[in-house]
Amino acid sequence: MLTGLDTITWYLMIAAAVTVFGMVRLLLVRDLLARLIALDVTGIGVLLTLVALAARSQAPDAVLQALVITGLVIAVAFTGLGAVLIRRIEGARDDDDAAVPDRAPDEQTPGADSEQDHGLSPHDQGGDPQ
Amino acid sequence: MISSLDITLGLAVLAVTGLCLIPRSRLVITMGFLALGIVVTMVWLRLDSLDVALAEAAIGTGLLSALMVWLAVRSPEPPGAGGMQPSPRLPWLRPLIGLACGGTLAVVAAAVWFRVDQQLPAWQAGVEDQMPDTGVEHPITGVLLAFRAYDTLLESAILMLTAAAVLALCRGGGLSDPGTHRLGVHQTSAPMPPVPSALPWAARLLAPALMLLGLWLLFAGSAESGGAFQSGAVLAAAFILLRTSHVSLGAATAHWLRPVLVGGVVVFILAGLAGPVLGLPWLSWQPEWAFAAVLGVEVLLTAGIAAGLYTLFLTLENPEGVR
Repeated sequence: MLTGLDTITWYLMIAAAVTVFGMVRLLLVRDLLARLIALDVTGIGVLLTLVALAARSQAPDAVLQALVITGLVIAVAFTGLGAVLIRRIEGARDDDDAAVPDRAPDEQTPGADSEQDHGLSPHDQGGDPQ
Repeated sequence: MISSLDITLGLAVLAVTGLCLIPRSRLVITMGFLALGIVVTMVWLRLDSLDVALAEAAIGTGLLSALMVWLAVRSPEPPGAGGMQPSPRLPWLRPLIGLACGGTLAVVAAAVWFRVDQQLPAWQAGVEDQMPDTGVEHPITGVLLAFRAYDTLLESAILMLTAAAVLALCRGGGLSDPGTHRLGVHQTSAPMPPVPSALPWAARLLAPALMLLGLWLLFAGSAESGGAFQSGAVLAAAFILLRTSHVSLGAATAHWLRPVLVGGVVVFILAGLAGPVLGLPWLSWQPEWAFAAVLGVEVLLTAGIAAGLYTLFLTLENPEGVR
């Protein structure tokens, strides 16, 4: 069955699957790092499409390949900014968790609140460390 | 006709994609992303795209994975639940809708892309005609710096702006130490976590080789595969290795990071302005001095790109007082 396919069509199919898988996961996951990685996977799927299309002619299409290199650089830029933002967001949360037990010792400890979806839900009313 | 190698590579891409999307553990998805970069690099090579493979290996796999691994090691547990909570009444509804939407999207995307597959782009003859006028022999570098110079300018400006944004996210004296012209970001000289003694030794041994590789990629870019972005990524990787293995770069970074960061973009804009001064269109170069202009811009852009990527790594460490 697969022998009827040519290489370009095969990689286009893979690219469509990777793109959609990444996009769906991006919409469904809550962990910030997993979201960032899902966004990058979506990007890789799109780049795979462009490279597969560039490889159709005898000498690979320079315009499309240059576009892919541009896309890689943009991906690095937004991923780097996203990674730094995640570190800042979670660093602030670490601060909250460290400050809350002093002010409200009767509340549950930070390690035991895994049932709640975020570390910040009831604690933020207790007291802002800043 | 499709070879078994292509089938294996394609299935490997799908499997590794699953590995970096499905698990909950941050370390596992990060390692999956690293592996995806390597497999995809092999796909680029298989599709005759050596330049893209170099860029993916250096920027996509190397630097991005370094950032991601650092992030996952520093905070291995996501705060709060990693996935979705099942909806209380109809637990099967959300997966069903997700599957339906995903399937529809996949069919639509595949249909569009297969239709595109039937047509060759109309720009190919034009590109081949104009290529000798760009001053560089390698078609991809020519496209990036001559045909799409405006894009490339904005692209290097994006790295500069990203670096500025992450620098602004640092606390303390803002971007400058009070009363000085030094970069006031404490991460430039903060102590790094201890590493095994083999790493500093290996990093010092590898650093000259990495510098040489970076410069070779830069200068080879005019005739063969390579270019500013690949070269900048390799240089930034050398800096990251040295920094991780406790080589003190703090003083040099504090003085030189910001000038190098903006230098490439400023010179690019000035070189672009030379066109209107001489009566040519904006960002266009005459063939006589196109090579010199392109090479000079490339060298400074490379330095700026390396500085931008190194800044991303530096600021990944939280400011003082925040874990």
